[in-house]
Amino acid sequence: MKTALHSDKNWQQEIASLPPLLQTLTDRQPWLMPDGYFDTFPQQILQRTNTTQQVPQDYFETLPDRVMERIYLNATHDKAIIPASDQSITETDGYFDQLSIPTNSANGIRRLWKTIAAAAAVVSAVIAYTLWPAEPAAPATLSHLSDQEITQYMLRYMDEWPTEALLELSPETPPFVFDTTATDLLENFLLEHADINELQNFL
Amino acid sequence: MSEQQLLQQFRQQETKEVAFTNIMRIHQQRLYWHIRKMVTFHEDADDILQQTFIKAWKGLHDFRGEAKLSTWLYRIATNEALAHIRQAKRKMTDATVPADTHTIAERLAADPYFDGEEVDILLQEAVHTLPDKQRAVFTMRYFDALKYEDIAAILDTSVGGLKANYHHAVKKVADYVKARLNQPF
Repeated sequence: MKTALHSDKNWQQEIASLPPLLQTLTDRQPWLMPDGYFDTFPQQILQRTNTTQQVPQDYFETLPDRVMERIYLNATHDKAIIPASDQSITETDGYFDQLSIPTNSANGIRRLWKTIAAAAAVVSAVIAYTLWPAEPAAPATLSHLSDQEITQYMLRYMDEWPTEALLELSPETPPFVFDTTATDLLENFLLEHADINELQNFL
Repeated sequence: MSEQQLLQQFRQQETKEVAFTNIMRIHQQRLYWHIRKMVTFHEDADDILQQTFIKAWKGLHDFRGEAKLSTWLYRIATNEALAHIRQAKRKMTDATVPADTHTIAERLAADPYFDGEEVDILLQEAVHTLPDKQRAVFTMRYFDALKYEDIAAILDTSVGGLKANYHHAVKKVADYVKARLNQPF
């Protein structure tokens, strides 16, 4: 590509002082390029600057919530394969209170988890009494159920139970903490949906 | 529209893209040919030119006009081209990276964007043998006809040193071509 600079006298004199072949090679143009390259080039760059530099509006403001939502939903998805013998599942105090999940369905599942975990300590005695009211020996076994055992059982079989019924276990209003109504609901739920033999074997 | 007006437009969000598009349209061809003659191949030149303008997009807010915009862009383009050349050389010497064993001549012969004769290929081979800085100086002076003062501003070096660099480069290129060309030189 020749420009106005190539008509500069100093440059021309310098080129004229070079070996003959080098004098002529500056005029040769063996270079080609794709048709219309310069026509589309600016648009390509603008697209690249848009994708490499910009993020959607409020991207960083909402990022922590979106990450936590994915973590939580992955955790609820993985629950079905948690080994029954795994005793390491505990809820850190206040963990779900701090968790911010924007979608309604996630909120429902979150409330459900919390309700199950909170109800576990109380419901074992209720189950024992309900299932074996006339046999003192049997309730004694079930009354030793731990919070984790009840919770694990619920989580293990949650995918096999009707979602709507599960969501009914969860209180609809904040602060979503366990109350006697939730205990009754959980008791009724287990009586309706749980396999009693499986529950005994599982525990 | 003056360079100052374009820069003012660039600093306003609503006219930023229009201003930058105009800046690209003004400078893209000279920068492309500068880069292309340093690295020879269109694909490499295209990559480097894109990288040059993306860096310009990111850095133009801080450009205060101490140098001409064209000098500033040339500086980015030259640095990007030199970085590309150094990276290619490292790949050649790095045993862990698969090396491109094709010679410059073989690549040019297969290049749909090169339509030169033996002497053109020899010239490119010769340019590729030059040390990085000599290659940049030779390209800017021999092909682009830039003034020594402008080259000095782009490379941030002295005019005296540049002239010496250029004359060394010219001698090496002439010797290389003369030794291989099957005709009187």
